[in-house]
Amino acid sequence: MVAGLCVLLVFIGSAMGALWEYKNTPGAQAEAPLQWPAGSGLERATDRPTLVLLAHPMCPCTRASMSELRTLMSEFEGRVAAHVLFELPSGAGEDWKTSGAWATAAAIPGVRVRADTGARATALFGAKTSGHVVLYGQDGQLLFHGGITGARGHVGRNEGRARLTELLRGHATAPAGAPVFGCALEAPEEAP
Amino acid sequence: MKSSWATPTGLIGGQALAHFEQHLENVYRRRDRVFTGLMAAQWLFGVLIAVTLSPSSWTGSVRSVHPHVYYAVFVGGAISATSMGLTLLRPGWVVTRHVVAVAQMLWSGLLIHLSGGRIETHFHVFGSLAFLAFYRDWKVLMTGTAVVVVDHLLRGLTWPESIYGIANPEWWRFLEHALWVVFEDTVLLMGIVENRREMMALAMRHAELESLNGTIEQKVVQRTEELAASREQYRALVESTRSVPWQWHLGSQRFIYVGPQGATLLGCSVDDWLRPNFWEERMHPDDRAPTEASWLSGKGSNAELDLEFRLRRNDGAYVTVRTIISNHRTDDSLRGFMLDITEQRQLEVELNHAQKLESVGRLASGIAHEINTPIQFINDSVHFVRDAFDEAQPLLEKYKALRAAAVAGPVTGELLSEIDQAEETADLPYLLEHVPKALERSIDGLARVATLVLSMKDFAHPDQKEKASADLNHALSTTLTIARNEYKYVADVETDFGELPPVLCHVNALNQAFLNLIVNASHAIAETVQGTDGRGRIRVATRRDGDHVLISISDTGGGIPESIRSKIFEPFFTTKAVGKGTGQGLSIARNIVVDKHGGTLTFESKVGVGTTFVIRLPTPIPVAHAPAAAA
Repeated sequence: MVAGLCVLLVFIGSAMGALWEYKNTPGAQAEAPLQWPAGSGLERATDRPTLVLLAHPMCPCTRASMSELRTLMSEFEGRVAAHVLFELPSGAGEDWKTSGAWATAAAIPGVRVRADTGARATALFGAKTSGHVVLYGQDGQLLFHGGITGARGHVGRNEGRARLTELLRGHATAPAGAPVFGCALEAPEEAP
Repeated sequence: MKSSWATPTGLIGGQALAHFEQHLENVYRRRDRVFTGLMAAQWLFGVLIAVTLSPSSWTGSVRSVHPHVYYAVFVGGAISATSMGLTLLRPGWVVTRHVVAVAQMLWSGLLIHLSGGRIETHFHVFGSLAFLAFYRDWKVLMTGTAVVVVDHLLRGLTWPESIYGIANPEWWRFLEHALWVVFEDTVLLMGIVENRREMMALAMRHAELESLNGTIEQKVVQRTEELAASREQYRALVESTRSVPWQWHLGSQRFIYVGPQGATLLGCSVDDWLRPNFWEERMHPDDRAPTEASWLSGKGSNAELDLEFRLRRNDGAYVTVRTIISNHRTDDSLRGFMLDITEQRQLEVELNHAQKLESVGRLASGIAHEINTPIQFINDSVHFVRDAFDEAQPLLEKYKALRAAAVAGPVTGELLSEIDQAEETADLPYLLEHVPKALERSIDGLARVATLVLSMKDFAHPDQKEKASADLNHALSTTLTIARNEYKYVADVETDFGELPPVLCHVNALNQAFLNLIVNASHAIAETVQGTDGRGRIRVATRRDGDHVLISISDTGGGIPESIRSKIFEPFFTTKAVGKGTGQGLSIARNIVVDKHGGTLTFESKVGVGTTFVIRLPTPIPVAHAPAAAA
């Protein structure tokens, strides 16, 4: 019996390790453009930084990103122009527009929610993983790109949010990045 | 209170330790059962969270099952199944609760992951440690804590962001987390220690109570045995005596307990005694009313009641029993003892008769003198008549010759002279005067003797068992005749007999009482007139007083001194010299008047004047002698 218990414990331990591994594995990340890309359909603010969070409306991990965004906006509402851009692949159903993440984003004060049908703007900003955040300065320069969660679907203090906060407070000027944890924004066969 | 860490010693300490360990074992089993349910609930909850919060992962528009779902179902299932398997199959086993501790903390980690690291889910860690403390086993708490520590250490090394939120925390950051865990563990450990201490105290009290109960039980058994032995002893004692113990139930009016002696007393079974209506069947009809009257008059008092009555045996004979009703009565039952006094009563009758005969015997010389006196002058008178006849015989011969001569012819002068001579010789006038007187005296003397003999016969006759109607005036006359020799030299007797109805009584016993009083009166007068020529007076009077008759016997003796008046009815009390009296006369008289006839015997006395004894007897007139007018 003791041997069996040990085997079970090893299995469970291994599984928990694998879970950690999964949680801790960021998604694919492409380079974001250093300058605000034209043709995104989004309006960049000139009097304050502009933040865009690109997300998969059905990705459960994005819930954590929205929570972190809410935390950020609770401090920086009015001081940053925030957008959430939900990628809608062709043929996406209406339920994609009424997902929980969509409702959560819409409820964040100071955030505009838009659909990115066809993932055009998503591609322009170089986002490949749901929860990807880009921050551009008043002059349109890229200040931050990456994730604002510490692991897949995990809320709580993390490097990404910390760096973004420092930038928005003006305590840092150098561009920063962080890994993005979330679902892939596009299937390889659907890449434009 | 002893420390829970100090092992109790001694017999009671050993028992307390056993109780403590048993109680603890029960705690472990109960907690294992609770965790069985909790593990199942957590598994279901984990699956629910996974399916609700993260059912699918996406790659573009391609959906797949989120790994959370697999982890919730399979990893969570493994965690719960492992724990539940042990709690169900090996409840109370030490390994079981340690596995439960590990599983519970693993669930904390898994739930945190499944909920997306919500701060609120982290409370599950602290709550789980508190649940584990319910085992009251600090080692289980340490096992759970160890899982938390290992998790923090491993993640701190490999994924510090997941704990501290930053990739490069300060070296002391782990202390902040450790401090909170230590804080909670300290509080929980204090609770565990206190709980165990209370459990040990309870176990000690339990053991002490058991010991006390055991001692009490032993004492109860011992006392019960002693009580049973004592009861058996008393039962044997009570049932070995001649007295018949009994208990009477007032409600059902029957005996509910009678000693085995009761069977011997009446020649029946004890069960017969216990039947209803036993009393009515067995008690002598004449005794029912007096017995009931005695009970009714005495039942309200707190004293013992002493009743006497007759019971019928199976063979038809009656036994006289004396029943003492104990003063320890309850509202529904009476208790007492019954003693067969038939022989005693018989002896009393014989004693009374013997005393009567003794009285008669004592009076014998006087009675003999009374008889002898008339016999003497009868004897003298009869001798005189014989001598007179002898002297008259020659005269009678001469008269015969005269008659024969008269028939033959003329009577000669010679014959007449012979007759004259014979008459002178016989002293005929003297004979004609005195012979009739002698014969009268003889007849009178014979009558006196007959009377005396009849009185003796009446007096000495043994008492009948049943009362009979009697003329008390006649009885007093008889008694005065018997006692004449006692008073004739010292006193004159005066009688004043009123008209008395027949009295239902034991007349011979009353004669005894009358005799004793008359003899006492004679002796009192004799003492007074001794050395003088004076004579006293005895007055015997009777009269009717409603439903009673009064008999008074007065004397002009010296009276009864105040100092002895309270003792005169005591048996064997006497003021006479030794040999002059046994001191039983008044005691017997009182017994006869009061106990046998329900009457009273009182006296009035004045020193130097005399004494009067008064007997008062009830007179229920026998039905056979009831006046016709009352019919």
